[in-house]
Amino acid sequence: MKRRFIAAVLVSAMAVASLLCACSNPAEEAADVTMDMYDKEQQAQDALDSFNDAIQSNDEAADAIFNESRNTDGFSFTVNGVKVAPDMDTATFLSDLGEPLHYNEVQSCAFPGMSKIYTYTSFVITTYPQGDKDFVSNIELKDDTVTTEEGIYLSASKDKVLETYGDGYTEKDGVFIYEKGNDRLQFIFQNDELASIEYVTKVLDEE
Amino acid sequence: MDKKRKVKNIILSLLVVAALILILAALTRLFMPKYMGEVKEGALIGEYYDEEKDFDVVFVGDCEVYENFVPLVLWEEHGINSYIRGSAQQLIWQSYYLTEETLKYEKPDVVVFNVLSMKYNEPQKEAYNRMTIDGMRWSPSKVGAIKASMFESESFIEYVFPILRFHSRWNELEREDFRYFFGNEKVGDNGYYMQLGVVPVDYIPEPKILGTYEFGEASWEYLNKIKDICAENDVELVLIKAPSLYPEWYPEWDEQIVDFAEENDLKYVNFLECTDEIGLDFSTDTYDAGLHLNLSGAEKLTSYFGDYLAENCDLEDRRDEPELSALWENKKTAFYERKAELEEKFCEK
Repeated sequence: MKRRFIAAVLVSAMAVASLLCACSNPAEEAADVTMDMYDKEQQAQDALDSFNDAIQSNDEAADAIFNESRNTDGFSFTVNGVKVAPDMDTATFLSDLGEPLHYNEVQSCAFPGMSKIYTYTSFVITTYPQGDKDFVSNIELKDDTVTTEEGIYLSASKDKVLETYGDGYTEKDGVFIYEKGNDRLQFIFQNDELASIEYVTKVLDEE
Repeated sequence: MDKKRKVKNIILSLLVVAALILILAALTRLFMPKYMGEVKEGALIGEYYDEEKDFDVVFVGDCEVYENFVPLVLWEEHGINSYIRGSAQQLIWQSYYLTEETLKYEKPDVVVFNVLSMKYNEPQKEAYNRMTIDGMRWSPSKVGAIKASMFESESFIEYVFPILRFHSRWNELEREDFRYFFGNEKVGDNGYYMQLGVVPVDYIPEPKILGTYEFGEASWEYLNKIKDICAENDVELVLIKAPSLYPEWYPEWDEQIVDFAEENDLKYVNFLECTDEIGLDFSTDTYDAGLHLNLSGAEKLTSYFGDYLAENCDLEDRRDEPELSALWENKKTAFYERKAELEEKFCEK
């Protein structure tokens, strides 16, 4: 009787273990102790870690890894010869941009770490924390002295934007959204004139 | 098979099932986040169930309630017995289900809802959802909250058996997972989450242009549901907007809430319009540059709102009730112990 009981408990334990193993799937694997449990963020972090490691040894290799890691030719924005794109490690370009007009840190309601906001004259860069690094979550263009890589600037006509970027957009709540790789380029029009240009990472999305 | 053997087999089977359930329950408890480390806000929702549920005022909403209002101040100044059912980025459908659940336990005179969450018409982050939902006890309200909050990539079963979601933490378990295995420490004071730091406001980021300033359908649906369930239960609903300077509370949003309140004969207080009257000093009363108030700011705001509630909501001063007064004496002691502990940590930093 005692042996049967022990055997039964062992079987129960095995059943539990089987249950745990059987239910593994990629989404579940992403859970972690701080509830920072997003697969895509982790993938981006790994990729960007590789990118940053590579920077130290070889710039060309870094470029290659950067492009590969983003798994795309995503959107980017160049100002004063400095290229900025969603999910870039801010350590790789901030010093080249010079001092921002304003710098803010916004603590999340619930997560450790800070979102950082760098306000420059013509654009604003917001970051998200990942480990001890900060990555670009979005870039807003604030005036018409700066343009997108494709030459679009604030106050451009809606026709001009659609002509430049085509009709492959989705519209949600008045926002025209173009997607490329891990990035979104978002436009908002007021009276058919461009009122807002924003680059946004998709890495933080959840579906 | 004789009768005795049959009975033995049944008992054995029951023991096996019990052992299985016990092991599952223990593993679930071990693997689930305890919210006792750096991120404590996820523990707030569950604390309500240990309370004597006889509150006059219950707050529901996001961090703009649990960091900005101090129930102890309402008690000390007006004898109002209140509780905050707040959680990080609490979405409006979660506020509705928490209100529904609260009304099954008790009938407060007033429910206070902070309207910032009207800006979200769809779920935002699973992690935030979990911080509200996992703390709720099982009930039709919890089921409703899960269904309304889930992303397509999630499944309901993961909420029923959280171990399915969190088992992969097995190699990341920390000391807090074992230390708090048998129960969490209390992190809130009647739902208030105390912050003592001071980070003055020196710059407020320019608000973003939005594609639309209309609140979404789901937001309206659940605001109406909150209004209806309060009316059905003879509970007064008071809408508020906490005086957070950032993220932006757009005038277009405010206008919609003002109209809604007028149409439905509800009270609405936008504290952003009376920061001077409240006496808020954003160089000393915020711990994160204007997003939330610290204790000093929260005490001022609560004192102001207490006066408003006492004047406008027909609430009794209950300080002459011996049992409730004794309960609050204990709560007061716990509050000041927490404050002393935080001050000590703050000084060490």
